[in-house]
Amino acid sequence: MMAISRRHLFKLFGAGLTASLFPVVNSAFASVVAQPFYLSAFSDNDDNHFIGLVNNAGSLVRQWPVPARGHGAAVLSSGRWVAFFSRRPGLWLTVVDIRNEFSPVTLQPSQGRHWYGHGVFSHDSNLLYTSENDYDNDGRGVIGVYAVSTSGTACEIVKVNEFSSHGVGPHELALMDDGKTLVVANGGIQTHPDYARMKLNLDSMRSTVSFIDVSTGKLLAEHAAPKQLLSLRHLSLVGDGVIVGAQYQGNPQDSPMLVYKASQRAGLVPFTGQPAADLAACNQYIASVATSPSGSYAVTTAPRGNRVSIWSLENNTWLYDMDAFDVGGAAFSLTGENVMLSSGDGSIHELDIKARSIKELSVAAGLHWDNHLQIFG
Amino acid sequence: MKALFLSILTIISIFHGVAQAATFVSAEQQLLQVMTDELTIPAYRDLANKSQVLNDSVVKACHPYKNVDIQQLADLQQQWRLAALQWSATQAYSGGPVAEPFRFWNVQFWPDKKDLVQQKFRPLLQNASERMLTPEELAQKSIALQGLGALEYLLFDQRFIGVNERNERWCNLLMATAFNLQQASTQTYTKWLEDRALWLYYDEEDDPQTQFSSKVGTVFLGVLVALDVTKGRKLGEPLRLQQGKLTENPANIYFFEYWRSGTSIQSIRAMLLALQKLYISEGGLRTFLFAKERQLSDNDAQSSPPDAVALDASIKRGFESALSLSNALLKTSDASEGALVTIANGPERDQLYSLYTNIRELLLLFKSDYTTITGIKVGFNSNDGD
Repeated sequence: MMAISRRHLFKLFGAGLTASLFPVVNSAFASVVAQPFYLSAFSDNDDNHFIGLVNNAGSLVRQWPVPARGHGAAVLSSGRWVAFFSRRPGLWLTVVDIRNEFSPVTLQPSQGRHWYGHGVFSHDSNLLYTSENDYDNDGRGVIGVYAVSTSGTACEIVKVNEFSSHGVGPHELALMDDGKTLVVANGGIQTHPDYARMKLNLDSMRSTVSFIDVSTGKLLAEHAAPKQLLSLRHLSLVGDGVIVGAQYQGNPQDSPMLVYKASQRAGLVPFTGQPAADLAACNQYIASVATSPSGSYAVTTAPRGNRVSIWSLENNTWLYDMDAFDVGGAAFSLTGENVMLSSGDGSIHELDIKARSIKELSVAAGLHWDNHLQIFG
Repeated sequence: MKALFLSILTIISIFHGVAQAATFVSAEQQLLQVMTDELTIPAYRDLANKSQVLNDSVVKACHPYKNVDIQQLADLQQQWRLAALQWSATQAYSGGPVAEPFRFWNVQFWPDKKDLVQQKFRPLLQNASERMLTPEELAQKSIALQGLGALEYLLFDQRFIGVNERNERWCNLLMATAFNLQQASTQTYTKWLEDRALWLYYDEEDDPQTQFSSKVGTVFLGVLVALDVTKGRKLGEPLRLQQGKLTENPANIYFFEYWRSGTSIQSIRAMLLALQKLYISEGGLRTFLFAKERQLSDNDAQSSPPDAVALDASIKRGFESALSLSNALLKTSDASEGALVTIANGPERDQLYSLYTNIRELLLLFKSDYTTITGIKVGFNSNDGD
């Protein structure tokens, strides 16, 4: 347990309208709540970094500047406030008001910690869980717990606790439907912010998916990666577990399976059926995982291989791969029939799962979408 | 002798390559050939040679042990500078073997924001009861005890290493570190020679442009990384810029690359010169720019051709301006730690900032206009897994 400190506290005050770099017309909010939108971090060519709101036509309709490259987002159930995390070593967490009525406010990590780029709100919206690095203690993985309180005009977040992630390098995390079990992908790779993104423990790295009781921090179940140099990093909820995407740190000629289903009872089970050539084309790296609302499909992106893979969750098998340059973000539409895909080249595409086709919706020249895309609305 | 062997090895390797590819099947192939045979491999060969000369000089000065006088120390410092600046030149071609984990740090452990080099060396220098170390034993102790930064500490530090500290123990550590650097440099060079065929390989049955394009992307990514690291880590962070702007904050001298020896500006200059060479060499990035512009115009007669001539002029001007700025800064002399402090916090601070903005503009030209015209695609999400 850790003491609450005032410097961990930040507020979004009702301090007037926010100036956005892209002017937003008054009707924009109505459209924001009327249809699904998508959120993603992006950067421009001159190292300016933003959080972006994209409509379902792929157009950037709103943006907020942030101090450095962003990564994942957590949306509060009310749908108004979104917590955005900086890419590791994450040194800021920004909460934005989607209505754009209040200025975003940025939080610094607590002493000796940095964020890993992901977080998730509790189902009652009272708590925020984040993956963090206790970097001066051999990179011990930590789950930060923040109290969240919102009113019509403010969102207040205070770090109140933390517990072990039961591994090193916790990355993406999700809260199971029971609201009590946190699933964490511990990537296993130790880094230190003083040494950028250098991997410090490849010879001893151990990656796991851990299931943790959020009320006690107790480890309920843990499943280790089947290969020592396989780093389990990204996940998406489905049924009684998660679909996990991995990256591999071993020999460039190796092609280990990169997609797994993890559940408390069944452990870590690899997907099957992906032809060897397609698996090799993924180039040892899955950037993000998305699952359909119905639980029928999963999509994984592989930007190093310019690939998107579609999986059946009925029998955990591969369906097909498609080409998509530097594709990172993936988010299912509300119907689950289409998937929005974002790319590092500034393009947004729509994948029609059943038609097996990809359509380019937009290209924002000079912009680069980060790995993750999240539906909102 | 070893240097001669390395040179012969290179000549054989390159002659073989040139003989195989007298004519080029695509602009991509030509760029890769020039990059590999005319720039990268010779640059790493020179690094291996200069590291060898430095190692030989250290052995000559320290073995059998004798007191190293001021003149000998100055000579060793000069040999170190030559090796360090050659390493800086290779940073223009930052792909290949140095991208492998720890291979880079074996040659240069940097940035070292916690001054681990000093922290790790001090007990070894002070503890008289500790026995002399072999190069392997030293290397196993810490990555911070290896490479150019470690040697810079032993040769230039004035806080903890005075005349009295340059004793037999110091000589032992100096010899072990110089040997390890020479080994790491040579290994990197020989790995490049081994990998050369992979870089230049193509299947005659397949489209040459397609199969070379991802390798060209890797080369180009190296250019972007070199400029980005110079802009951000070598200038922006030491100058403590906020959102790319100068503030009242004094510079953090210890964040400069080679602050102990005051070789930071020379290092930037060496990288810029190597990058300029990659641009203007026949078959280099400039040739590639015009080849791709012609190709684009031929393929799409309807669209207005991008202005490669204007971009070329901007890039050339960018290099000249950055080099001119670094030359002007060097006239103030940054060959010592004190001079670097003067530059970073004195009247030349604005010039240093101009160098930053100049490199930022060069980076932008490559990132935006150059990629638009050439069609080079560099992954944003594929550089380092997250």
